Amino acid sequence: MTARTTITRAPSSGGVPPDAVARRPRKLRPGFVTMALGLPVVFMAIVYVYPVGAMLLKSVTEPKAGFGNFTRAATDGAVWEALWITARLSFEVAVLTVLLGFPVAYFLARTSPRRARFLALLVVIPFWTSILVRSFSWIVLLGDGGLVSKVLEPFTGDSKGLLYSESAVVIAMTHILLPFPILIIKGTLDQIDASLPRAARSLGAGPIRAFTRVYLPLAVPAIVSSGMLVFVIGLGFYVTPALVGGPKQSTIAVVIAQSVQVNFDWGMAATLATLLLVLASALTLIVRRLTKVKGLVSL
Amino acid sequence: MTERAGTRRASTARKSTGRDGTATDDTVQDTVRAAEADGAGTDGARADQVVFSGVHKWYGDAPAVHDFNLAVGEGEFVTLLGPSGSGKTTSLRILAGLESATAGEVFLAGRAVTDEVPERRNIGLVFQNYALFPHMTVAQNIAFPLQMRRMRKAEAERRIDRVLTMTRLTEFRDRYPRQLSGGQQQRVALARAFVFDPSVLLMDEPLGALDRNLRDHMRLELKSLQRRIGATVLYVTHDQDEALALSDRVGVMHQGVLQQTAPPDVLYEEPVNSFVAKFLGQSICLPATRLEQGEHTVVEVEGMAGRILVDRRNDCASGPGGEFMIRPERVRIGAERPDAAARNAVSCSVVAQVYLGPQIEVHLRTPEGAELQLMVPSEARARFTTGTSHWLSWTARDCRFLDGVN
Repeated sequence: MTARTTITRAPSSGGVPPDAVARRPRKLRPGFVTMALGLPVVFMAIVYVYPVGAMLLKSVTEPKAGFGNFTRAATDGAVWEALWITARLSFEVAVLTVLLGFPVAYFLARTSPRRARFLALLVVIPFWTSILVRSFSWIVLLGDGGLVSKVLEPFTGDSKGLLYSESAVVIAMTHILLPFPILIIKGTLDQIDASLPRAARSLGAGPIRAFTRVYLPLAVPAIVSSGMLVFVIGLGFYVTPALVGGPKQSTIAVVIAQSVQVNFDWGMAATLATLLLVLASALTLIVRRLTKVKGLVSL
Repeated sequence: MTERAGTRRASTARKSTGRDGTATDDTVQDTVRAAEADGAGTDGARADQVVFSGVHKWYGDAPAVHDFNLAVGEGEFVTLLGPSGSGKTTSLRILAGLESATAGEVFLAGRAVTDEVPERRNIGLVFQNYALFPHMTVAQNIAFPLQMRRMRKAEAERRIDRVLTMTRLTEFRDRYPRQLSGGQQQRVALARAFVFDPSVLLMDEPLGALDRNLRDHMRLELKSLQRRIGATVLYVTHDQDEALALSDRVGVMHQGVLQQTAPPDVLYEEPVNSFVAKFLGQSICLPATRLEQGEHTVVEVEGMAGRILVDRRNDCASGPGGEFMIRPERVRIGAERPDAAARNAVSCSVVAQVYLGPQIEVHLRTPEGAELQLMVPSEARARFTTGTSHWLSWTARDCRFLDGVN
């Protein structure tokens, strides 16, 4: 490329002044671009495309070709039960994290940038601890005679913990996923022009109506998308429900693990994983569409 | 930071004590002028829509606004002009209720609103960045203040249609703000601010975000709209052309102090201190000392030989020390010393010449070392080559003796 540009600079190049041709930015060598993009592509292919492809393939080939696994799953009450539990847990966690996260995000967006940076760090720090550790600590806290039951003893009358119940799973998952809505919503609230609520006030809205009519609608896309994200991540949660939940809190991920580890049924595991993937993708697309129709900022 | 705030505070304090006498004079002059303007108008005496009375605003121990007094009559267009940080926006916000005054009172349509929440002040506010609600259409944005006032739907629709027509936005009523150009957004902000008949329209650099051409165009549009609806406007800008072109009266602000409030021509012709003189248009300002005060004030100007006569009415300085000031276009340039005894005259030579197209900027220096710049039509540039000597002269009526405020 470079070589040819130099050659066309000859008198034949007509009205174009030679300078303009010479100053054209040099193209990057194709080799460099290929390398820079190629490595991640190869990496993604190995750790992402291949496993997902293999999973999809196994769901229709293991133990024999056809949709046998899907009919088996569709007729299995335990699978429906697990799907329902998973969806319900994830929904509860999504709602809770958004409800708890919004005020925090609002405060972070309103406070001085310096303090906001420090507090945001506190929000992020738990991320650096593994989910396993955080789930285990909830076992200690929520167990019989644990801190939570002790604190609640005067009200409940006994020292029985919440461990191995749906509440325990919801509490632990909410704790683990809370940073997502906080950070996502804060990101959007930071973008909201501070003069908008002021304009609303000057136009006759009280503080509450200025918030509900102007501020909140602008935060809705972030609220919805962060809730969505938590919901989708929640669908795939395995460690926490397995550790702090009981048999009644068998999420679809727990059932998948059982298929592999207990029943050695790779076909069923792949089928359930495929169902989960389709479910999560479909939900993402639906919510995306819904929020776009309302003319709100896209996700 | 602290140091700077401290210096500012000290200088403000010094100024306010030093100017006490003149400040009162200004206010009196001002009232007289306002009365004259009223008499000239068709509707006789007008009630003051906006009154600031002794308003102070401190941020911590840094003064943002110092003893701010201003009255805006009904239908009047008053502009606060000043560099950034001069307290003009703060004053506007205090009136809107978005900031609280540390001391003083604010009145709207004769009602004390100092402690009123912003939503009950009935003020139309236009922000520099328009602050249109991005999730509402043009019509919904304009409907917002009407909905907040629980206006009946039919009446609201009628009003929205009317302001849309006035601002030529009818065809854009269902667009979202992001689908509009800057000028159109500006008109929506304006329509939204006056659709509910506010007692006063406050505008904080409303044209600041537009490019130069559009700005000149919107300026005319703004003025004609204001005349049509007869709105009382308090306008804030740092652009002197804008202030002079739009306003019935301009208040020049500096370091939290309202320096002078007057109609544009008076402000330009009769600035009360050197800050106003320098901030508005070109001026020659040189340190000077008052020697006598009689029929004329006689001053000695630093770097000028002999005594300079200043008309008594043009002596606004509070003490013997101050600044001599004259507009460059009032200086006559000649090759010979003028005969007329009434004229002040100094000789000087050309140091440099800058060619600016229609005019040249001539840099001159007196033998005693005072430097000044004049504009000369460019066809005369051959006469003003470097090193040539000239006589500058002016009448006592065209020059002024002012307090030095920097």
